[in-house]
Amino acid sequence: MRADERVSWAFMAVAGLHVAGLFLDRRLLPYAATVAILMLMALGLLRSPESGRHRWSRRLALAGLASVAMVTGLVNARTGGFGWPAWSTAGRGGRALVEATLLAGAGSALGAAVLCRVRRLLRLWHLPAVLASACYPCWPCR
Amino acid sequence: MNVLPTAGHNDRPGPDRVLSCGSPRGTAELRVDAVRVVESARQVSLGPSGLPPGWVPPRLDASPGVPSADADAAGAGIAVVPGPPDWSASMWYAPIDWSRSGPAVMAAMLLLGLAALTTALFPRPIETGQAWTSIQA
Repeated sequence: MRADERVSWAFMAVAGLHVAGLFLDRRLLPYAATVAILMLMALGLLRSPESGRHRWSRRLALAGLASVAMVTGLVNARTGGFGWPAWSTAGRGGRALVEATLLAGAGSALGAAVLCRVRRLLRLWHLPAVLASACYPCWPCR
Repeated sequence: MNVLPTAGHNDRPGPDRVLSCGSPRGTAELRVDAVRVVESARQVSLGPSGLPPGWVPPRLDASPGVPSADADAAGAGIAVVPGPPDWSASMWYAPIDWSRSGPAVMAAMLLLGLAALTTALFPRPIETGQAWTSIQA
């Protein structure tokens, strides 16, 4: 079995454990969400060729995944290892600002990584996604 | 032990309020007839604590065979009767409460989305010779 396949299986196991723990309301594995996202990052690193096309897209995606992993780690550290994603927006003061900044950076980096792969940026069927992403910042204000 | 008032008893004769006390081992229902409680309270002289002197509250036992309340409490309109088993206290027998599964669904969607994004942006590299093998097949 190749290294990236091993990481994929490990990601599925850890992510499944995290979701099952949340569903059953049991504390199964602390920092499981952070580990799962770090495994996705490892998968991206293992599958990144050193050269070739879309180099910047891959770099942006890795930066976005690293930011998401940091946000998840901060939320879990604040809540004893089991807080993500339910307590993601419950931070106070400077920590909340850091978490929000990292999350916004992660969203921007992942969005830019996807847009780098698009051959033509403006298409009619991109409109729903554009509207949804424009409305998403207003979600916590409800 | 949770105590939940059971609704829907005001529109029919009989006990005015039913309080259900449950655990995985069983439940006990405390049936309170408000009219009889008020009538009996008028007839007795209350002590300094606001209760009749010597009155002992009925014991709520969670075992299936719950004894009925003592005669004084039953006469005052309060009775303890065995209730149906309360499965909500046991996670293996309880029906799934979908309203509490929100964080799990949210985590599953976020992790699946990130996994889909990662596998789309980092496709599996084609090994040397694989393309030639697939053409031959």
